[in-house]
Amino acid sequence: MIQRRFPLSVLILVIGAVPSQGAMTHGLTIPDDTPRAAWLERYTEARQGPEQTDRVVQTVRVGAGGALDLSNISGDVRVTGTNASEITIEAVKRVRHKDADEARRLLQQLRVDITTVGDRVEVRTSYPRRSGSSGERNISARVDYTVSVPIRAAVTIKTISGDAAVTRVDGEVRAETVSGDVSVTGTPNVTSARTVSGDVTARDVVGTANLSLGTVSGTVFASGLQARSLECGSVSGDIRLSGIQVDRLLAKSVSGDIEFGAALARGGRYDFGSHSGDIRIALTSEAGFELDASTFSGSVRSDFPVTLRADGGGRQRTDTTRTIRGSFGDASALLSLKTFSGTVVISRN
Amino acid sequence: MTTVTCQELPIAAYVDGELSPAEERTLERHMEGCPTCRALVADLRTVRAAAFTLDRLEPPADLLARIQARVAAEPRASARLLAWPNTRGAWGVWLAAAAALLVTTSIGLAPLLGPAEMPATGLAPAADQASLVDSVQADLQAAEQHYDRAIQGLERIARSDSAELDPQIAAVLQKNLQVVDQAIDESRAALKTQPASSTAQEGLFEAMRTKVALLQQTVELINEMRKGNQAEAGRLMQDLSR
Repeated sequence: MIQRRFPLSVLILVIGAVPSQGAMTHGLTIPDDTPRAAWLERYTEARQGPEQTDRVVQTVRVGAGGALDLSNISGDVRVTGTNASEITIEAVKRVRHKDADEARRLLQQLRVDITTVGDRVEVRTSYPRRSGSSGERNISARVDYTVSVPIRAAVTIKTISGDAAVTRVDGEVRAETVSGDVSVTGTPNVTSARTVSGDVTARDVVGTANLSLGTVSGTVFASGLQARSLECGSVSGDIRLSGIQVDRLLAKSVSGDIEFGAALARGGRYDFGSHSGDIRIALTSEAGFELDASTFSGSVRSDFPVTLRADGGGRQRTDTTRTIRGSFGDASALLSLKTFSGTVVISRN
Repeated sequence: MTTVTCQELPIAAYVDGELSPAEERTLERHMEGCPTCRALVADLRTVRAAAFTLDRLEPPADLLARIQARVAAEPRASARLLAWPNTRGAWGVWLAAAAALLVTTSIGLAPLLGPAEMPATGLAPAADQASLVDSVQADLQAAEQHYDRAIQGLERIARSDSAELDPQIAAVLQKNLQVVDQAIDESRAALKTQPASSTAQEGLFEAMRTKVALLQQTVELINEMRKGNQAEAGRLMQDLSR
C-alpha cells in the first residue's frame, strides 16, 4: 500500500536544505532545472521506481461566488481567482513504484473526490489504507492541484505535506499546511495562513480585518499589507514585515529576528518580542509613539529623540543601554519591543 | 484621585485579547502599579495554559448541539475568559479543563479575587510594599510551577505517541522545542542573578507559554494522525505559533 510518510519530501529536505541560488525566493518556489534537480530525479527513480501520473480535470459552475474547500495530504495546491463563474479543478496524481502494474493499481486507488453542494465544492484526496507490508515501503504518492475559482469565492485549503498558494481571490481565504510553504497574494479577506515547517508569505493583502500568519520553523514575510490587526509568530524563524499598514500588530519569535519597516498608525499598538533574536524597527513616518523597549543582555538604540519618563525608569544605563521608556511626538501609538539577549534598534527609514 | 475597584477591571477580556488598544493601555498602566492585577493576569494565563494538560474526556454526542443552541439563544457574553475550542478534538480537553478550572481558580485565585480596592495609579502604601513583593514572588513561583506541570504532562504524551507523527514533522517540532528549552534555561539563569528583572521574568513566562502552546498542538496533531484523519490535522495549525 501507499506509504504516507513522504520519503521524497524528507530527501528533498536533506539534499535541498540550502536551495540553489534563485531556486527559492521568499517562499515562492521556482521550477528547479539545475543539475541537482536532475540528479534528485534519477536518485528517486532508482529508489522508488519511475513516476506514473494521472490527470483529472473537472469544472463545476457555481455562480459569481461559490466556495472551495480542498483537503490534500501530499502535494502542492495552487488556487487562482478568475472572472469565470466556475471552479475548475485540475488534479495530477503521481505515484512511484518499481512495479509498473502495481503503480497503475495504486494510481487508481488514489482518489480525488469532488462533491458539490449548492455553490460549495469540496475536494478530498483519498489514500488507500496501508497494508503494513514491508515490501511496499518505498512507495510515494501525491496529488498536485491547480484550481481556478471565481474571484469572489471563499477558499479553504488544508494540506499535510506540500505548498499552498492562493492568488487574487476576494472571498475569505484560509490556507494551512503542516510541511510546506504557504503564500497568499492579492487576497483581501485572508484570515489565516499557517504552516509548521515552511515559510509563510503574504503580499498585497489589502482590506482584511484580522490576519494571522504563523509557522514554527520558517520565516514569516508580509509586504504591501493593510489590515486592522496582524498576528505573526514563529519559533525559530524570522519575521519580516515591510510596507504594511496595521492598527494592531503582534509579532513574536523565540530565536528569530524581527524586522519592521513601515509607518505607525495614530493610536496603533505594536508589540514585538523575541528571546534571542534582534528587533529592528525602521519607521517611515514621524508619527508619535510611546516607547517601551528593553533587553536583558543586549542593547537598545533609538534614532528618535525619545523623552524619557520622569520617574527615573526611562533609561537604565550600564555599559550599554538596556531599557528605554519614554515618548516621542504626541505618543499616540504604543511601541513595545522586548528581547532577552538580542538587540533593539529603532531607526528612521 | 479616581479610584477603581480591581474587580471592575476587564481582566478576563484582557487575557483573551478582546480589549481595544486604548483599553489595553489603560489597563496596563493600572497594572504597572498594581501587583494584584498583574499577578491575576499571570495566573489566568497560567491556568489557561495548564488546562490543556488534563485528561481527555469524550463529551456526549449531543452536547455540542445543545451548547450551540443555548449560545445562539443568548446575547453575546460580556467577557470570555477562555477561547472557544476550534477543533473537535479540543472539546474533550476543554470539558475536562472546565471542571478542573473550577477547582484551580477557586483555590489558586481566591486571594486575588478578594474585594481589594486599589487606587487607579496603583501605588500601594509603602508599609505594604514588602508583603506585596513577597506575594508577587510567591505568585510567580506558583505560575512557574503551573507551567512546569503543564509542560511535563504534555511532554509525557508527546514522547509516548510521537511515532504517530511524520518523522520530518517530529524532527522539526523536537528541534523547536529545544530552542524554547534554551530560552527557558537562559531566562531561569538570568533570574538567579537578577531576581527582580522584569525582562527576565517576562522572558521566562513567554518561553513557557510558547512551549505549552507548541506541546499542546503537537499532542493535538498526534491525536489526529492516530485517528488516521490526516487531512483534518491541517485544521490544527491555526493556533500553532500563538
